[in-house]
Amino acid sequence: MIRRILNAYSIEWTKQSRQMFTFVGPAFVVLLVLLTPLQYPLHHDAANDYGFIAYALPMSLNFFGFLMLLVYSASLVATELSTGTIRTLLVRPLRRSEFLAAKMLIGMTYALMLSFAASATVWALAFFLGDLNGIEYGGELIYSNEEMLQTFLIAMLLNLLTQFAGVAWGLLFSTLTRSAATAIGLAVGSWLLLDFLKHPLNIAPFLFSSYLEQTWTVFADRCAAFETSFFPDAYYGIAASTGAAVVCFSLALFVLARRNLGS
Amino acid sequence: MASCIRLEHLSKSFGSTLAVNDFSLEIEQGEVFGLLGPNGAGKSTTFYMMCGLLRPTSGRISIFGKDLHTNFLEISARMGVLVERPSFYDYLTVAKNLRLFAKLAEKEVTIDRTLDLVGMLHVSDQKVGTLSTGMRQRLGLALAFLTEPELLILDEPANGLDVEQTQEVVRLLRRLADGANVTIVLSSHMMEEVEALCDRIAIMNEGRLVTCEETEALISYDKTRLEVLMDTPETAARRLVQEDWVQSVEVKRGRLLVHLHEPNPHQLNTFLIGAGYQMSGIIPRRRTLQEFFLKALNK
Repeated sequence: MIRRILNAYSIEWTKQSRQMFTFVGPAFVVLLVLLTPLQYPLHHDAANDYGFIAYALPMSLNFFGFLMLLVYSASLVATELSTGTIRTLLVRPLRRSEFLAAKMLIGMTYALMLSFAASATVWALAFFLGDLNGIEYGGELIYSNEEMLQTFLIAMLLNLLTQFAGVAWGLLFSTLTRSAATAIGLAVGSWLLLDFLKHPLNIAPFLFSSYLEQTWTVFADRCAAFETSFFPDAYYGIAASTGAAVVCFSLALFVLARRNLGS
Repeated sequence: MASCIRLEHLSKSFGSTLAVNDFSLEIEQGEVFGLLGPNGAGKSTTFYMMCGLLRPTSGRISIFGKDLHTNFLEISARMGVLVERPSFYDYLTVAKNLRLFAKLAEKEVTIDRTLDLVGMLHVSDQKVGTLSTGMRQRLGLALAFLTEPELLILDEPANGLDVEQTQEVVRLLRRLADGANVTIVLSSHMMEEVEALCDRIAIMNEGRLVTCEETEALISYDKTRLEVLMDTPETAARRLVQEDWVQSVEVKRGRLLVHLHEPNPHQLNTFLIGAGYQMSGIIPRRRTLQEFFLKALNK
């Protein structure tokens, strides 16, 4: 089963890497990061530019990056349904669950691409155009560069988990309709609607997308020399994101397994 | 001969529409089997169920002696499928498309040889999006043949092909059936192609099996429709039309065509000789598959 999923994933990778659309998202978040110094200037002096990282990364990844991720994942199955290529694939030795797992993996790869593109750009800008000297307060080193990098990596991992839940969210809508445009509209629209209603409805703690911002809060606080911890909020984030990913993927599988692929 | 496909009381409904209704069929190993029927007869639905794209509402499908649903991976690895209007990744080349789908088969395949088989080697580096409908259909066939399957399920294999290409496909399929003992199940609107290729034919209508016969039996000679080879067909026609055992008489391009009520060429022979006509022969007309098809559907 693992071998078949990896084969299907390799097919996905070959396909996606030959489509311009795949690179539009990462290019877009890189562009946003590159434009951030206009809003949040970098200064090549004694001042610290971790604040730039804490500002630029959530700004590029949490809204625009996540939006691109939803667009991408919502089109993954719907495009195959609308073109009919899903039939060409599924008459071969490949289960629908394996096909969907490969789609999930390629969506996760896309999330990694977005995060890597944004992170690499933001760190490169901060490193070459600014200064990264650890976080000091009153002349005392509060967080060293290593500790800040560690904090960044934890924040990024937690953020990725939330993004993976976003991939499953997009995939669910992708299996519901044969039109990629409709699937994208439903995935993005429902996300925006839930995000808008999460506080009035008191569902924010249970909604995976609430933790997109949350993951960067600790990093931002440490940039400001506050002593904060990822926990216990990270536990809620992990639970909400994993739960959403499992539920959405299972529902997508349920829908796809019952889908009429005959015409 | 061993059974390759066994469909038992297969039914498929979409909402209140019953597309396939209690359809049972057995296809033997090495057989070339044709499934015919008008549009909406349930052929494609049956094909989609046979290749696992649709799950029957009720009934059972066994292929190679195993239940399709529980042994899908094993069975699908041994079969090649051409669905109606095959779809590919238009932005990839012909060879790349085949290479991609071959990955799932986990078998050694020779792309060039398969493309050569369907006459597409010269376009192997061309993007699929630039191909004509006929070429795409041939690529679909190449994909079905790619893993050298034991069973080929082909839905409308001649779709979009011209006469010459259709003949090529017929020859190729016949060669596969004869040489490699491949079982072929196909549906087509082109009666000549089915007639030339299939050992046995089933006709479906409104989701049900109307008839299933050996092709030779279906298109056997019709002894009620006779062609008389003679010099004076017009005068003989005038005499014959008055006989009550003759249903109709026609002279077409100098040939006398007689339609009898009963299959009795001997009676016609005796009558014409008795009337003093010189004949060089009486030939029973060959019934075409199309005629049989229309008759089976009561049209």
